[in-house]
Amino acid sequence: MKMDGNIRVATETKYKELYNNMKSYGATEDFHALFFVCACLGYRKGKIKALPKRDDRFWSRTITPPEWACYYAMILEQNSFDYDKVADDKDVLASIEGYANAGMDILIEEFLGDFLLPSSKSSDPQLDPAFCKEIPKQFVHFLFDQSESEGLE
Amino acid sequence: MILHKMVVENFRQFRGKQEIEFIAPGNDHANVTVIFGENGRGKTGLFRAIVFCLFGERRLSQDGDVRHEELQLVNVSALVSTPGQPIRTSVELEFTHRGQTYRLRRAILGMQDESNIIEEEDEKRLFVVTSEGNTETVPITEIDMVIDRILDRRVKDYFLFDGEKIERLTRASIEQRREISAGIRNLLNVDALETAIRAVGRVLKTLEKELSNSSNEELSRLLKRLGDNEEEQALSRKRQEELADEIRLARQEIDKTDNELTKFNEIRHLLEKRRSLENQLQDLEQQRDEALNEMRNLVLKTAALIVAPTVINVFSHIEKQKQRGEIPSEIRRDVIEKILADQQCICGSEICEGTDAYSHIIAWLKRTSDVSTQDAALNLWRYLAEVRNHFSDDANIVEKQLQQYGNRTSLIANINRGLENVRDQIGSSERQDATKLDGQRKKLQENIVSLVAEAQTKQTQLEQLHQENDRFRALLKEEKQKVGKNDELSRRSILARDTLDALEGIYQQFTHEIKDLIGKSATQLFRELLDKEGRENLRTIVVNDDYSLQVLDRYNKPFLANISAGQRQIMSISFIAALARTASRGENIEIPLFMDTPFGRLSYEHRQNLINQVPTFASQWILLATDTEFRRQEAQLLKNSGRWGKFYMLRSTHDGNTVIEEQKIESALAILRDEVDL
Repeated sequence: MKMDGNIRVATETKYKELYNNMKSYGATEDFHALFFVCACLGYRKGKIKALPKRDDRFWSRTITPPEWACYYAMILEQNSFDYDKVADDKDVLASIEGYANAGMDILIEEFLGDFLLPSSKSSDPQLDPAFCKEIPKQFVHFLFDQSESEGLE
Repeated sequence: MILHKMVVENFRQFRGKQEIEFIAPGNDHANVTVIFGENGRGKTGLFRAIVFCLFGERRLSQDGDVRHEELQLVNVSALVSTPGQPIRTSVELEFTHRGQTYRLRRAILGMQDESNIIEEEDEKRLFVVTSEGNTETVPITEIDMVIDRILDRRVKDYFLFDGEKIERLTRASIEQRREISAGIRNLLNVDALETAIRAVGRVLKTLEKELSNSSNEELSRLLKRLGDNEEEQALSRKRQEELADEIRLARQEIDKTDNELTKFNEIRHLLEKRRSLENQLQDLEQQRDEALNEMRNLVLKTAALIVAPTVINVFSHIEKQKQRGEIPSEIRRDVIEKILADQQCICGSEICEGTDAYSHIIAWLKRTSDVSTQDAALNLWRYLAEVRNHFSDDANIVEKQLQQYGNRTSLIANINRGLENVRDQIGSSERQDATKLDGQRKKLQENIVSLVAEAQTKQTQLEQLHQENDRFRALLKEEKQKVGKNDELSRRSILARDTLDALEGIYQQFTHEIKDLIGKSATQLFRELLDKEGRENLRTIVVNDDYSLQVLDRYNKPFLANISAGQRQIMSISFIAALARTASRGENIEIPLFMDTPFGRLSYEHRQNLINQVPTFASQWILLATDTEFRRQEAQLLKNSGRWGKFYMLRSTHDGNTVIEEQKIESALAILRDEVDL
């Protein structure tokens, strides 16, 4: 739990363009933000998926402390609060990569599907510029729908 | 002159005989009559009826160059309903002046000749009821003269006027100067003095012509130069007059173009609406784009909400660990490990494997983490606390932003629909016509600017010629005296010149004093009528030597160019009232103030001041007002002043005519509206 900033965080190779697109169309500020979203989605749905082809996406130093805190919380909750499981940040991020990978599949399935270029769907998904004008707002809307914001204090 | 009654018969929109009784000043102080009607109901028709009856004129100053045949007075529906029959159109006015009652009637006959309407003069009669109660008929040839003595037709525009047009008095132009100069001269009866000046001038000219033929070369030369100078002055003045006429015509042309443009009022309204909608749309789209850019900053907050239960759960777990004393642990792990290794407690007793004490310590060890893990857990607890504490606010922010974005998008959609609707209503051909007229108007305005510049140059030239003229006159007088000791012609010429100079001196002094008096009186009224802000900034009205009006600010600097149209209107009304007050030698104005559209351009405070002040200095105030300017607020003010005596409403009938209905003043407050959509 040192919030190590020297780790390369990877995503699946085929999502490279999608990460770039989401940033360039203003849906997310940076790669770590989309990664966080995907990790949250994957974790919330209890899905984890290994990365067959890894592609380094960003440095862990871009991850903010609240994001780290959420990652540690996920791993701790998942491992019956065993602090040893969060002792090594590399292991933590390796597990989170699995959640984020599964989370990206969920995101595509439940939200991004309508925004993708049809030709890209089967291989490396890419956003269709024609439908992306309001994607920042629609993205937040989708995430808000996924959350359980009611009753929060 | 006090107006008592007006009867119109088949005049313009007023079919049949209809009458209005004006409230005349009496014991109860009421002296205000309000004639209320929406646009097109015939308010200006009544204004026209008074001018027609008094002076036989059918044209008002605001008519511009509308053709004579377009200014029909006969009621068309009466004409159409009795084909082949002439229709009598008349206006009768009853008024008093200096203790005598007058009844003036003027009538025309209207006939339909194929598609044309012919109007012929029918009757003009004036009856005078003397103070003894006898009625006398004024011979028809003397009627105009009698009326002119009561209210000179040349100054009628000062007392019967359109509130929105009267502010032209404050425009610093040759026309305006001419108008004011004429107003002052006519009202103050200096005509006789002017006639004398002209007569002496003619005598002098004849004498000097004879003198110029004399053998004295210097005298001839000076007379010639003086003659040339005067000729040049006359030419400059003539050109000034021409320029004034050209400016007047150009302004009339602008008025005409404006009238044409009123045909596009609907489209103008739509164009304004379109512009307003487009501006709103632009603002909203900008706000929406900004909100869209802000959305990316909400992504992390919103995603964290997805794992809120996890965050809360882990936070609670660590919190409990803290409460149980496990984090940080009450006994350090390394101490427990040392006890186990030494098999001796810190109290000195032996701890052997397999004993209960040993098992307890092992369990203790299992619950205890190392120091770095404890520190990290505490850090995590702090971070999770921070994340957790923001959940509620973040959720509210995200929800609010999404809602606002949605509202803006709906508004944008509505405005787009509105715009589409407005665009459909604006036909492209009409739009082109309106643009063309606007272009013409712009050219006319440019023309006026160059004419005004030329007029100003001419004025400067005239001033120089005038100075030169003074110099020549002095030289001439000297020369005449030198050669004319024994010369009868020279002596007579000198005498004529001295007489002329003396008369002109009297004239100058008189008009100067009068201008001063009018300026002072106008200033006093102006300050009473102005709103608070205007009073603070505008101090004095000055009638300049060239008869232009000027207003000075608190630093005594000319400020006319900067005042608003409403303030100009107030300034003009003050000037008119001052003119009349001066003519009445400080008494109340004995001429009714008959104002069409009195408050159109005025702010509420100006309206308030007019309502409170005008009835105190005018003997009679007749207002022709429309719904946009005479609302419940103005009516209440007028009612409270105790000056409001009569209230008439102009109502349209199904056949396009207008009926004059007298209403109780109390009912006005129920009839009138608070605010009007402009």
